[in-house]
Amino acid sequence: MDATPEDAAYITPEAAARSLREIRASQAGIVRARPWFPTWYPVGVGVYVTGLQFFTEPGTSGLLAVTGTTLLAVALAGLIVVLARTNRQVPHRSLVRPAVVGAFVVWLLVGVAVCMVLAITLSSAEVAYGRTYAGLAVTAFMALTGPAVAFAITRRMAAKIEQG
Amino acid sequence: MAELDPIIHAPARLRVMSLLAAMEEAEFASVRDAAEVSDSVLSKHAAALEAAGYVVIRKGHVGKRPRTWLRLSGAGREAYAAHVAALQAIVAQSGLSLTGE
Repeated sequence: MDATPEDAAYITPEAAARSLREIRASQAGIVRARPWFPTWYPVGVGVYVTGLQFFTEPGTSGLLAVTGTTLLAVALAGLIVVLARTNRQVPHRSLVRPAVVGAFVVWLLVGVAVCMVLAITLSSAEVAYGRTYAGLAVTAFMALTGPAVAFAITRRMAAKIEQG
Repeated sequence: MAELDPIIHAPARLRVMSLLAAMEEAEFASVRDAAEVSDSVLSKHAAALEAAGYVVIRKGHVGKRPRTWLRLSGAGREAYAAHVAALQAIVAQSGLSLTGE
């Protein structure tokens, strides 16, 4: 007769070891299957930053600046709401270790550094809308590198699970 | 010493619990595919685990499509951790290793 979940729980050491190995493998598989964050989110933040640079460019009318930055703030809030509501299938917080956060922060800081260096360089060269171009560049950086970073993070989490 | 939990002892249930333990929340289809079970088998186990207070089932929509999400409750997470600890203790007492077959 087949065992049922209600049967007295008994398991041989070999079966217990096999169960634990299978648990690790299946957990690693589901964690590895998806990126840690959707690329559209940092790209959206990049667009927000770019828009902010555009609407605060010297010479922009006050009305346009206020309207533009207000719309951008509403769009960013919407982006955050959509992320919170749709991106729930993420690795459990216990898997988000300092090394994972560190890798993400380093990537963000590289983006910020690229943006600042470009903005200062273009502004120094008196290029019109230099800060906006810098914002576009960092948005492109996020779009191009985001998927690789997001999957690298979940791969690292999966490897940690497999190590036990 | 932690004891094996009869509610999650069955291989399919343990697989479902372990998948949910790794995620904040998981969509029904993702769990079904990862656990390699059918819709009906997962539904049956999810309902049993929900009745035990181990799993929370949430129904909603993505666009117009109905979706079901599963997550472990606090009690479910504790029960899963205790069950895994019991398995580890059995393996440790036997001197077996988890690194190979």
